[in-house]
Formats: sequence, C-alpha cells, structure tokens
Amino acid sequence: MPKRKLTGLLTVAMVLLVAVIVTFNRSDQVDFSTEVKPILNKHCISCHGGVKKNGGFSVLFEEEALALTKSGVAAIIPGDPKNSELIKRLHEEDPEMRMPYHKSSLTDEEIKTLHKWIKQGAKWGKHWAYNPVQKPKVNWVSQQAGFSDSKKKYQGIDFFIHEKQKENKLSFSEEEDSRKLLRRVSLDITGLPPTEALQNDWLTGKITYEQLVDRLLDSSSFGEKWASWWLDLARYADTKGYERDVSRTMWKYRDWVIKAFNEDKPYDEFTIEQLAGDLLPNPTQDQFIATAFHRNTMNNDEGGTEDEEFRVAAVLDRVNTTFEVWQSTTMACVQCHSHPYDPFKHEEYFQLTAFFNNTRDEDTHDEEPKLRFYEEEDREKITSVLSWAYSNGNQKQAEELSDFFNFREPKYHAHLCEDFVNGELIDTKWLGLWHDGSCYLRNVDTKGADQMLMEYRSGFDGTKMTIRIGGPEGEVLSQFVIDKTSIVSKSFPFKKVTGSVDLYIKVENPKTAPQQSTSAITWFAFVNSLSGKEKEGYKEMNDLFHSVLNSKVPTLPIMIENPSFMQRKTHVFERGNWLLHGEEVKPKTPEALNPWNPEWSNNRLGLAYWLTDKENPLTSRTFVNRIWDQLFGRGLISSIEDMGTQSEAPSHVELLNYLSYNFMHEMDWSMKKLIKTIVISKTYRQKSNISPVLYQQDPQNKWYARGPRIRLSAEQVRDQVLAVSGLLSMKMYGPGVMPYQPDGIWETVYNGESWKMSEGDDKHRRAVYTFLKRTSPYPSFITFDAGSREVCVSKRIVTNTPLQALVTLNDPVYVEAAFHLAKKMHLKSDNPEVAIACGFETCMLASISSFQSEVLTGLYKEALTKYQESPELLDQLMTVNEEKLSPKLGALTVVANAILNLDEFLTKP
Amino acid sequence: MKNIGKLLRELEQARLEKLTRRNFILDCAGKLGGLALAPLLSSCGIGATNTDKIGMNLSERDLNPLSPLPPPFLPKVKSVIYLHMAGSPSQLELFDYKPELIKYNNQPCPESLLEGKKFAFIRGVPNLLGPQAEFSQHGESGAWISDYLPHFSKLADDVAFLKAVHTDQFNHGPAQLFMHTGSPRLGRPSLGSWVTYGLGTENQNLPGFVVLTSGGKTPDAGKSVWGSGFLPSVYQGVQCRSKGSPVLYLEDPTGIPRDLKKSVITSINQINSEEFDHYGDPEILARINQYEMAFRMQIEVPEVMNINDEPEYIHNLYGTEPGKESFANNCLLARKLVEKGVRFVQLYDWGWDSHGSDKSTALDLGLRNKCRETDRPISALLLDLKQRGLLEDTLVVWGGEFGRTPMQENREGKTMGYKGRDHHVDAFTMWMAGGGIKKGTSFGTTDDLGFSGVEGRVSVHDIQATILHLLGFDHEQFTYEFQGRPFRLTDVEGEIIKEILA
Amino acid sequence: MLNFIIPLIGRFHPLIVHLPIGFILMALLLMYYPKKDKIQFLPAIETALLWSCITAVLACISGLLLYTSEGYAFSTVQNHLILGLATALICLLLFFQVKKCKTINTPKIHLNSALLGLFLMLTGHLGGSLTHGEDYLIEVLPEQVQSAFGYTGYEEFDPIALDENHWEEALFYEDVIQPIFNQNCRSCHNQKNSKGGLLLTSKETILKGGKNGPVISGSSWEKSELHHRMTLPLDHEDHMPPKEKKQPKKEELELVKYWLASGAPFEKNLAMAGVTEELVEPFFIKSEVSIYPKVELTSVGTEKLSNVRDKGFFIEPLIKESSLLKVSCINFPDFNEKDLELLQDISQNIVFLDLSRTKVNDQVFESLIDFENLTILKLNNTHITGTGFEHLHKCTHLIQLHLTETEVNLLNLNLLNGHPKLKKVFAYKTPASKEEAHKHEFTFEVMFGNFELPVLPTDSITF
Repeated sequence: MPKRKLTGLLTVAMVLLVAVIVTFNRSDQVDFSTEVKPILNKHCISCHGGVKKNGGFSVLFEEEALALTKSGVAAIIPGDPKNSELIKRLHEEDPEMRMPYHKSSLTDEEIKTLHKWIKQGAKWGKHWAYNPVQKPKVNWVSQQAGFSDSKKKYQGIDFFIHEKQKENKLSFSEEEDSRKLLRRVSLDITGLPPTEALQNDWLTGKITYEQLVDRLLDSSSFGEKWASWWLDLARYADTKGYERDVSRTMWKYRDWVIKAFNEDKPYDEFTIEQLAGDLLPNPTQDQFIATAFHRNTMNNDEGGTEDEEFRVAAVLDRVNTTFEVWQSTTMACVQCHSHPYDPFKHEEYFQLTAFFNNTRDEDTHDEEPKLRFYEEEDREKITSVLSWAYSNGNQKQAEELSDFFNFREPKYHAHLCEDFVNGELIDTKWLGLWHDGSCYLRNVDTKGADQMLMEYRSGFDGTKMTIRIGGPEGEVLSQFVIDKTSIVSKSFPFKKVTGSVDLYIKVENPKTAPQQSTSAITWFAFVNSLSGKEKEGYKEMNDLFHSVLNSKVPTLPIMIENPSFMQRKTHVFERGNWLLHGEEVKPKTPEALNPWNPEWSNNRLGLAYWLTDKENPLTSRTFVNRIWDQLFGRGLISSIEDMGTQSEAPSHVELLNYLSYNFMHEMDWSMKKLIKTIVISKTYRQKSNISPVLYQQDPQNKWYARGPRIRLSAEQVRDQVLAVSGLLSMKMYGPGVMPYQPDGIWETVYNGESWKMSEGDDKHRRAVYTFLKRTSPYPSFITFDAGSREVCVSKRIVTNTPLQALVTLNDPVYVEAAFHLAKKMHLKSDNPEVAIACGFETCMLASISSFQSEVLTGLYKEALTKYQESPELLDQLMTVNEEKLSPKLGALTVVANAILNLDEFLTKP
Repeated sequence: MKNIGKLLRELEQARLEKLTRRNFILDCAGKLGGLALAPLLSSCGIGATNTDKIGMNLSERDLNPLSPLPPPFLPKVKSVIYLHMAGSPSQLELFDYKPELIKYNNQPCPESLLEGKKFAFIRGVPNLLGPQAEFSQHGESGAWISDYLPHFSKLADDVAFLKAVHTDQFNHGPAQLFMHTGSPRLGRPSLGSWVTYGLGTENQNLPGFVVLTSGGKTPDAGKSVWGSGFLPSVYQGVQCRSKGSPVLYLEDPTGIPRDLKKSVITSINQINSEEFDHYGDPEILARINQYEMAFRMQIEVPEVMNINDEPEYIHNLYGTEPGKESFANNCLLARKLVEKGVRFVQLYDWGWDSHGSDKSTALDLGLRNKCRETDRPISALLLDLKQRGLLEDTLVVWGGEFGRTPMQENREGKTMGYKGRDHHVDAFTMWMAGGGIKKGTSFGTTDDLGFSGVEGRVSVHDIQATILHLLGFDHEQFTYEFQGRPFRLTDVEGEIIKEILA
Repeated sequence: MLNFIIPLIGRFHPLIVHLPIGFILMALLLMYYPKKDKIQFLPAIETALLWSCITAVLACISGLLLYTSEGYAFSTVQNHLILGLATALICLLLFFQVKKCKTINTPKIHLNSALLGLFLMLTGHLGGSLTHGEDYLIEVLPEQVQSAFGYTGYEEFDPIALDENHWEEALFYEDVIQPIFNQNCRSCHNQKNSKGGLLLTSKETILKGGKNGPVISGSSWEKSELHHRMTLPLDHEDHMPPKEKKQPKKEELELVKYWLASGAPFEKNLAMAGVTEELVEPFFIKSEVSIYPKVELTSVGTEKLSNVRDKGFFIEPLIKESSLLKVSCINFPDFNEKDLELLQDISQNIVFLDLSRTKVNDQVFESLIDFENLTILKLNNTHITGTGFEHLHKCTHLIQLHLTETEVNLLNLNLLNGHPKLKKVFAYKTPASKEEAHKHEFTFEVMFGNFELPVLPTDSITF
C-alpha cells in the first residue's frame, strides 16, 4: 500500500509543479500603461470610453473593462484571450462585427500585444505619471557600453541625457562659443542681452560660468522675464474680456508675480498663496494680492447675460486652469463626461469644482470683492475707527469692520433681487425700481445687524424706500428716503432680525415718469453700527467710518471665501450643462492621485496643500517639465499641456523623475535653484549647430545632441531691440503702459476706452508691462505668437510668418530702435565698416564675418548714395525721430534696420 | 564600426554639397542685388524640394506653412466668401414669411412655447410681433423675400436658403464663436483657419485668410472669431483694414524707398542663407521664405486693397465709395481677393442687433437702413462673381450668429419705444450660393409663428460640415492633434446638408 | 497568490465531465444489457452509480468554477448548467432507489434511468457546443445539407444602385428594399443568426415575421413593427438597428416607409408602385461624378513637380494622390506661351490650367493641342483675341473656358462652335460682349455679363 500512496503523492506533486511553472514562468510581461493603453486609446476608446460606451463596453476603467457587456459576456476574460470577445472581434471578417467598427483593423503587432496582455491576466496598470515621484536610485556609472566616449563620467542631467544619446548612437556636441553661450543664458534667464559689465567680467574670465548664472539670477530682470511666462498660465490681462472687454486693475498681481520670482519664493508657497492666500491664518496684504491669480478669469458685462451663468463659467475655468497649470491635466473634457483617456470621473470634476464654488465673486459689473489699498490718511482713520469699535464694542465687531474696510464683504448684490413689480434689473446689472415698484431679496441673513449699508446712485430726490420682512404685509425693517446722488455707499438703521429672511423692497416716488428707475442700486450689506452711541465723539467716528467707506482708492479683485451663511451647494452638471443639476457633491480630490490628509481643511487651502504635497505625482513633474520647455523649447514630455496617458511617450522619464524629486527634496521648491541646475548642465551649454546627418537622426533635438536654438519670444524680441539700441527703460512695476501702436486697432463694442500712447520712458518699458487688452492685444506681440490671455495657455506655438518680418522691418518702434542703434554705431567710429562691425557685435555678441561685413557695407554704400542723391528722404526718415540726420547716419540706420532683422538676432543662439 | 564609417561618409558628402550650394547662393545673391527679387530660395536651388539633397527631407510646409496642399476629395469650390451680419438680422423681416404672425400680432406668446426657454432680455410673457416688412415671391423658385431687399430679391434663383437653422447660444459672443469655431468657448480655430491649414494658399503674395470688418466695430466675440486657436498662428485671419495701411506695418518706413528696402531684404536673406550654412537650421530657410513673401505682400496687398482705380461701372454696381470704411467696399474687395486666389474671405458687418431699444435697432428703421446698406453690395457681389465665372468655384455664405424672436422684445418686462426682437436660437435663416450649391432651392420650414423649425432643421455644425465638404474635406476626418486627442471643427456632430447641394 | 487554483480546477471541467458520462453509461449498460438475470450485476450497478454520482458532483463543481471564473453569461450556459445539475440529482436519486429496492425492475427506476440517459445526452451536447461552438458538427457537412440547417457563410451585399435613366423599371422589393435590408439588417437577421426569429432575407421570411408575430401589418404601415422599430428614438432599447450598429440613411427609411405604405409589393417595379424620382434620386449611380475625364495616367513624380514649381508655376494634384494636375500662373506673371514647353511632357495630366494675368498671346492655342485632358482653361485679363481657337477642338475634354477681360471678339468666339464638350464660356468685358451677341447662336452657354443693378428710390431713403 505505501508504495501506491507514494506514487499518488508523486503524481499530485507533478501536477501542482507543472501548474505552478505554467502560471509563474511568464516571461516578458506586457506593460499596461506603455504598451496596452496606447492601443486602447488609439483604436477603442472613442466608442468604448468616457464619452460613448457602445455595447455597454468601456476600456476606460478596469472595473468597466472586465464587467459583463450588453451581450452578457465580458469582453475581456483575464487569462483567456481566445474566448475574449475583445480579441475575437478583432479577427471577425463580417464588417458589422469586426472592430474597430467600420475602420481599418489593428496591426498584427497590436493584436498580439492585446492577446498577450489578456493571457497574462489583463492586469490594469497605473500610468507612470500618476505614481508619486520616488527617490531615483542611480549610480552614476554608465549603464551600457557606448560606442563613443563611454569613459567620460557624467552626473545628474548629463548622465541621463548621455545614456539616451548612446542608445540612439549620438553624443554631446562641443561647448558653445563663450560669447554666444553668454547671450543664450542671459536671454534665457533675464530675457535681455547681458550688460556691458557682465560681458567684461565673463569674457575676461573674472567670473566662472556658475557665478555668471548667479549674477543673472540675482538681477531683477529675472523676475520680469519669467513673469511673462507665468502670466500666460495665469491668463493675466488688463481687461475683463468678453464682449465689452473694459479695463480692470490687475497689475498689482503682475507685480506680485515679478517680486515672487525675484525673491525666489519657494514653489509650494507660491502655489498656496495664489490658490488660497485669503484662507491662510491672518493673511498679509501680499497674500491677498496673490489670490488675484484666479480673479484673472473673464468677467462678462454684456447686457442680457446672466451673471450666474458666467460666475459658473469662471469657477469651471478655475478648475480647468488649476489642473492645467499644476497637474498638466486637461480637465475640460471631464466637465461633460468621464475623461476620455485619463482616470478622472465625471463626478470627480464637480467634487473639484466644489473647492472653488464658494467664493464671493459673482461676475458682477464691479468685480467685487476687491482688495482696497488705502492712503496713509485713510489708514489712520481706519485705525481710529477700529480702536473705537474695539474699545466700545468687542473684538469680533472690530474684525468684521476691518474686513469690511478691506474688501467689503459679506454683501448681497442687486442681481439677487427677483419678482419685480414695476421694476427691472437695469442692463441685468443694477436694481432699478420705478415708482410704486417692488421686488424681493430672498434668503438674507443680516446676522442681527442694526444697520444696512447700500451702494447706489440716483437721479431723483425724495424716493421713499421701505424694506419689509417676508412681503408687502410684513413688518417694516427699515424705511428711508433716497435723494439725488452720484454713486455712494450709505448706512441706514435696520431692525434687528435673526436667521435667514426674505426682504420685500418697495419704493415710491410719484415725481418720476412711468417706467423710469428711481435709483440704481449695486449692493446691500448688513454691518453693525459703531457701538458707544452715547459716548463723546461718536458722531465724528461715524463720519470717519463713512468717509473711509466712500473714499476712492485703488483696488484689486481677489478671492474671498463665502461665510457659512452664504455657502453654495455644488452639483454635478448633467452633460456639462450648468442648468441641469445632478446629485450634490462635496469637495474631494480625484482617486487616481495622491491621498487626502485629514488634517487639511476641506477647502481651497486644503486643495493647495494637497497639490503641493510631496506625494502629489504631478505638481513637481509638471513644473520641471515646463521649466525645461522654457529653456530647450521642448518639454521632456513634449505635450506640455497634458501629461496624461495620451501624452506622447516621454523621452527621458528617469531624468524628469530625478529632477522632480530633487526639486522637492533637495532644492526645497526653489525655482532659481532648478533653473540653475539646468543651465549649468553640459546639455544646455552645447553648440546648437545642426549637421544634416544630425538633423536626419533627430530633427526635433529630442536627444539633446545639440544646444537649443529657438526664435525669441514676443517679449524677448521687443526687449532685446530696445536694449541693444539703448532705449529700454528699466523702470519696474505699476499700471500697464501703452507704447506706440497704430490707430484704429482698438475697436470694441460699447466701449469708450482708447489707446493713449504713454509719455516719456513709459514708451520703452519692458514688454511684460504693456497694457494687454484681451479682444485686441498689442499687435506685434500677437504676431510673434503671444496669446490674448483669455484662457490659460501653457505653450505658445512658435510660428514663422511674413507678418513678423513686417513688424521688425516697418514697425516705427523698430525703426526708431534702428536709428538709435545707428547713432551708437556712428559714435564708435567714422569708418562705416568698423561702425557696422561694432553694431553687429553689440547685437549678436559675435564678431562679424567677412561675408556679413561685405554684404552690410554694400548695403551701407547703396543707402549712402541714395541719401546723398535725395536728402529729402532723410527728412522723412527724421519724422520718426527728433534730430536731423546726416546721410551717413541715415545709411547706418538702414543697415541697423537690416541687422535687427537678421535671423541670428531674432534667435536664441 | 560600420556605423562610424557610414557616418563619416555622409558628413563628407553633405559638406561638399553645402560648399557648392553656398557658392550658388552667393552668386545668385549677387544677381539679386539689382533685378527684381525673384523667389530666391527656389531659383537658387535650396527650395523646399531640393533641401533633401542636403540631407534633410523637408516638406514644402516646413519652409512655408502656407504652401498649398491638394484637398483629400474633389472640391466643388476653391474659395469661400463668408458674409457675417454680426448682431443677427431678423429672419422674420427678410426671408421667413409668416402670415400667421400678422394675425397674432400683439397677442401674448403661447406659454407652451416659452417653457424652459431662456432669452437674453425678454422676461415674463412677451407679445407676438407680426412681420414689419412686405413680402412677395420672387424668381421661378418663388422664394419669399421682403421689400427690404429689392435688389437681392432679383437673385432668388441663384441662392439656396436654409430656413430652419438652429444654434444653442443666445449671447452674441459665444454664438459667434460657435458659428465660426464650432465651440462657444474660446481656444478653437476658426473655419477660415482650418481651411487655410488644410489647403494653404495658392497666391504666395497674399495671406490665405483675410478678414474685413465694417459697421465701425469688430464682432462682439473679438478677434478670436478669426483666431487660429490651437493651430499655429500663421493660419489665423489677417485683418485688412480699409483705413490706414491695409495690413499692419505693411508700409515701408518713411524715408526708406522701395528699391532701398529691396536691398535691405536681399542683404538680410543673403546673410541668413550664409547662416543656414553655419547652423543648418531649417527654420532659417523658412525665415528667408517669409521675408520674401513679406516683400511681395508689400507690393501685392496695397494693389488688391486699392479700389480707387476700379472703373465707374463697378462703383455703380457695388455702390462703393473709395476711402471710406463701408460694407460695399468690403464686398468689392472680397471679389478682388478671391480673384487673386485668396482662400477664405470673411466679412463682418456690425449693427444688426435689432432689439428696438433705439432708432438704430428698430425693425422698421435701423434694420431697413442696414438692409439698404448691404442689399446692393451683396447683390452686386453675386452678379460680379457670376459674370466673371468666379461663382463657379467660389462659395458665398450669408448669415448671422442666431435669429430673432417672433415676439416683440420687452426688455426686462418693459415695453420698448421701438419695435424690436430679442435673440432667438431655435430657428433662423441663412443662405449659400456658388459652386456646388443647388440654385433656387429652399430647405427647411418653420412653424406658423416662425418660432422653431418643423422640418429640415440644420445645426451650426451641419453648416460647417457642408462648407468643408464643398472645399473637398470630410469634416469627420479633417482633424488636428492637440492635448493628445484629435480635434475637429464640427466637434462630434455635423451632417452634410445634401438637400442644397447640386 | 494561488488564486489561479480556482480557474485551474475550473479548466479541468471538460476532463472531469467524461468520468460521470463513462460511469453513467456503464451503469445503464449493466442495467439493461444483457437482458437476462441482471440481478447478479446489482453490486456492480450500485458501485457504477455511486461513482457516477461522485464524479457528476465533481463535474458540477468544476463546471460552476469554470462558469464563475471565465466570465460566461448565465444566458449562454444556463441550459447546460441546469441539465448538468439535474443529471447529477437524478443520478443520485437512481442510486438510492436501486440501493433501497435492491432491484431494478420498478417503473420508477426505469423512468429515472431513461431520464438520466436523455439528460446526459443533452447536457453533453450543450457542453460540446459551448466548447466547440454551435456549428461544430454542421461545419463538416456538405454545403446543401448546411443550408438545410440554415447555415450560410458570410457574404457581401451590394447597396442600391439605380440607373438615372431607367430607374422606373427597377423592382421595388428586389432592387431597393432587399438591398436596404441587406445593408442594414441582414447581419443579425439571416439564417445563420436570426435575432428575434426574424429573417429579412426573402419574401417568405419577411412575411412570416419574427417570434413576436409579423413585422408587416396589412392594415397600415404605421402599425408595421418593421417601420415602427426603425423609427423609434435612437436611445429607445427597441430601436432597430441597435444604437451601436450602422444606421440606415433617412432616404432609405423613407423608401421602406413608402414601400410599406404601398402595401409592401414584392413584384411591382418602382414606376408601378408610383415611386417619385426624388425618393430614389439619392441612389442613382451618378453617371459622371466629376467634370474631369476619368483616365488612367501615370502620376507625375514629386521631383518633376518641384522643378515645374521652381519655374514659378503653381502646380498640384487635383486631389491627394490623383494623377490629374492643376496648374496656374498665379505667382508667375511673366509667363508667356514659350514657358508652356515646361509642361509639354506632363500635358496629359493637366486638367486645369489658369493662365490669367500673364503675357500669353494667341500662339498659346497651338501649343495647347496636346493637352487632351484639359477640362478648365482660364485666360482672363490677357491679350488673346481668340484667333486660333479652332485648335481648342483638339482639347476634346474642354468644358469651361474663361475669357473675361480679353480681346476676344464674336468672330473668333464662333470658331469654338461645335466643340464636342465645351459647356460654358465666360466672355465678360470682351469686344464680343459689347457687340450684338444675342443674334448669334452658340453650341455652348456664353456669359457676357454686363449686369447692372437699377437705381431704386429706396436706395437713397434713410429711415
């Protein structure tokens, strides 16, 4: 018997062994996110994804993909490709059955991959970009035996770049010529050509390259250069956008960004302050200013538009922008349906929306809430009023007051009024009640205030306004007379009521004509009056209060969170339609990304912490990728705006992860440190020449076997020209300026504003200070691919058009610059050739070649003879400038004009 | 090992070719000094197609993003003139004749119609408003056209009417964006940009997509209505102004005469081509191209944009007055531009927003004046295109961004001083004429009140699909990769309106 | 980690099932053969039945595991599953009966064993068709036998194609309706795969209808299920064809509707059925899709094209990948007829030639004779007078000729009379247009233009 047992056992063992071997000895696992997902996205997802789920089948989420489909069979049977409908349908010959439906079939390769994947159990992988950034384990020893210079040891960036180069049989180009390198790094960091001093120190070898970089990073121009990049993301502009597109004062935010860059504000702080500065513990004025980031959304003043609709539009834009800027994720699609490609669900979009849906701004004409910047005098008044309030009332009262002074919240806007009788919302903006008119202002919580503040204007005296609780029969809460006045905020005694009530507002003024508004009211607010009425000097205090209230001060739209009694509910919008409310949602961050820390408050501030949490997989990667793109003209992930599963396979994942990790942990989010790390790399310092062979191998410079060579940005083009011609004003900050612009550019509906050329220096300020009108931005910037800043733009597409030539050839700004450059040349030497050589050198930081000099001198001679023959031309040329020109100077101007148009000048070497 | 050998050989070969080519450039550069600036690149053998000789197979497009491409399907037309009446004319006063509405004049509008509808200004229950114009039938097709358009009505048999167009945006800005970019939100390329991107431009001295505005204002949605969205900005509409220099910075700086300017550009291009030898960056070749085109544009554009020298009979036909900004002038310019091979000409005429809030927006006053200003020019344009044989391969589209309500506007519940109509999305009229269009047809009908279409309803995307079809595109396959997914003009909708195709 | 065990066991189902089959057959065999004194087999029978039960249960378990782990839909396996379980149960029952009665000659036992046998067969067959596919057995049969079983391979069907001139004779059902069904319905309603028991393949089957009764109502077409289902809203679950399938064109729907409305005739032709032209117009095989000649030409190489381009011509294929070419001198104002030689060797391919605003003169027509496929020729704003037009008769495909603002006079215009294809000539602002053109007869349409718009009083009224 035992023998038999033994054999039995043996056989069982054998069977198990075989089974085990079969299951575990699976060579070359298919990787889902790099091999399978792309195929699904390419061929299947358009019909079986977030938008459509044909046949009840979707390959968007694991559970969907493995679930039973309409037909009752699961399309994917893990481990059993042959019986998986998904595979079967790929082989079908009946065109009605064969997938992709009525499209060309998959390649055998693709089918094989899917087959293998299902065989291996159809494991769902997570896209690399959604895994937290891990500390990279690299030993700086070359991984493979390269065919060239494998002896060299590279560290950091260069190491990773070099590894890839070897895979592609490429290698580094030599280092760029020192002056060109100087020009490159200077334009990249400061947006300007280097100063004389810096040139000397560098060329005389007084400073090392690293010191050079530090000098550049320390200069205040650094902030100005990088601000214009960030402002594209922040969709910063000086007008509100949409139809009327009138001006708004936003520039204080622009200045904040410049300062933030210059003082190297760590990126996490930088983020938190812009997203939720107002929610930080007793925020500073600057932290309030930072929140203007999300007040850059457009504001629609067009008559007949419903404010709520555009408030919602703004909120959604904030969600989309936040995710594009910090997560390189296009959320816009999730607005209407689950994301077609990335693991974000429809409701998750609105859970994010919930974070942003509770700010006070309501697309009102006055763009409240706005931070108010008081003059010294007013500030004194405020302190005295506050101290009075504090001493006679209590702390809380004083704080409420100070908030109200700072940003006038909380208040109820007129557009909340409804059920008009003999009344209207004037141009859908202001409450206008006619004689014997009335309306309701519902769900008002006065917090038991004994005083109502109201901003209004009126063309008539003696309008009696009565406010009752509930309705026409309700108890009178306040009754007063409105007289003729320009816009003013006044206070009226108000009967204490508690809880949320409906106000019935009624006016009478027989003097007014029928259907004529007695007044135009902007908002109502309920603020306790100063206590200590009995006290000596109360009246003065009260007057101070009102004078501050009505003092005209500079303002800036900012974010202020709704107080508890004004909280809005957030709903899913069915099919993205804001009128179709689905189930209610609470603030929550997407599943696919990093976990939520319960200690964070469940609002914008929490969201900001979540974004800047070191566990967040996308924030640092996104930022590093963008900076890299700024310096190399191409991101490590080329689709800058989207790092999701659709983005093309990144060329250097390890490098991206390495930099991202260090950016957070080693560099503590220091933007300057990051930029420095990149620009001191060998990779950055290479020559940018392209040999035909090299071009063949790598047209887009994907493997960085040469330095970056990119046309300068709109801002750089202008700033550089002004710099080399010595016209550039280094004045910083302040309201947008209006340099020369041809007439008749500004043509907007219902908008009296016009372009008034700035005086003196302001004509020649750096581009970042140029007034930007969304519906018609500064023409020459647009021509050089700058945007209109209506929505967040994370990458400008560099184009090359004849209109650009026209700008640099004919725009008076550039002619003027040419003239001033010519003067500089003229001073250098009387000998034209020398003068031209100097001019050329100032512009290119490179000595002129014999050929170039030959051509330009030729041009000079031709121009000279021309001007000698017909000097009247000179006078016309002079009209651009003030002084009288000599033929020589004229000729030099023409030459300068040519120099300023050379490709080398318009391009980063 | 073998690798390196190959590498070296290629390098050497390339070096030699560059040398020879360089000398070549130099001596044509010499040539060029004097005589007219003929296409430097091509004539000097580094034209697009020859660059592959020097080891880079560059497409025509790499050097000139506007270079023409053949359409994927046989096109009916090669250019489009789009007449956009910004503000939206009232179909009920022009083409959509509703005798019933006369009966119901001043009757309150049936609640059933208003249910779930939103209007820009109308509040509560407005009254219906009968047509303010006299209608009569015209041509063999017997199309109903009002006496507001005496000239155009003679051409009834040349156009195809779409009587039941509908949109879903009732504010000007979004609606105009929707009409021209296929999306009410910003950031999508306009129809014209798509077309220039797809077909380029045949005339290498003119932009492919020209925009002309009249009525003293640009459209409400601003320049994004002809913007290139996520397409390279080279494809955006070039606004030609009828006052000042037609294209910004087109004029040479005073004091730098033409011939001198020519030498400036020649010198620039000579140095740039030498620079190409040094850097080998194809972008430089592109730039050389652009400077040439800029120079040619400086000659060609003012020529085309100048209507002073047009013969008398043309001025009489169009009713043009040189020197002043007018829709008539723009119509004439449109013809000249198309004649010169411009791909897409977009005309915006502002001032059709007939709310009745004042005289200029009253249906019986302001609207009539707008009609008078445009009736002759539009008719003239059609006739002129016809007699020159241009209508054979040109498509003319007329329309607003939406329609107007059968109800009289009662702004915020107030009765208005003048007769006006509010914005209306459910039904309005557009027409098309020209190549591939079935002449003298009318497609779609609206209910007795003209409130919404009962049959032959077409959407904005349908219209876009049809225009693309006529130009030789399948609107579903004509896409551009952005944010990792293919975008198209008609988003996920759009059906070709076969009923109006010849 | 070891979660593969379950599916693994499941996968043994196909093997295990053969054990009960074997044992049960064995048992039945022993029970009914040989005829005589089976009683002596009783122990053997009992053992056989016992093992049948055990293995049957095992089979069921493994079967269930397979079903759960392989994502089969219940609907597909239910019969096999139920029968399988039933078999096991009956087997058990039989075992105890036999054990109890110690005989096999009771009617109960006979009945049960009969059932057992039957169920075994059915279960086995169903199992088989699950693993090997429904048509496993039929496949091997000869074609005719197959079709007897209602199986046919997949076949292509042509869409409706009507001759523009003789469409009336086409048969309504055979040439129009059946093709519509073939295009839109057949893939689910054929013998092989008749969803809802409906076959839309022949008169008989159509009239027969589906398992929910007829699809064509004699009384009125609105009542006809056929039309009703096809016109339901797309999202409606009864909509046909199903949402995700290709949908019929609205023209097709119209025709089906009309067919039903006219009493679903199977023999009538379109004329008899009173079908109007616009109903079928969309299905005409357009005798001429494009005005350009349909000729097979070798396409011109890019090298050649670029050479021509470098000369200043604008040249590109008419359509992507077409061998027909479009040539224009829009960027080549200095062109004169000599430059035409550059095009000689590709003259065949050129169907569109625009020489407007160039320096050509009448010599050009002589050189144009080799351009035999030339369809559209534009000579606007040139100095040609038209002497030499007669050569254009050689361009037998010429359809449009543009002569706006040229020196062409009536006399020369007459030279074009009798041109085989020429349809339209544009002669606005030519001497011809000024002369008394109306007297002349042309074999083609001539556009002299000179349109004017009357001056109306309203032109000057401001309201």
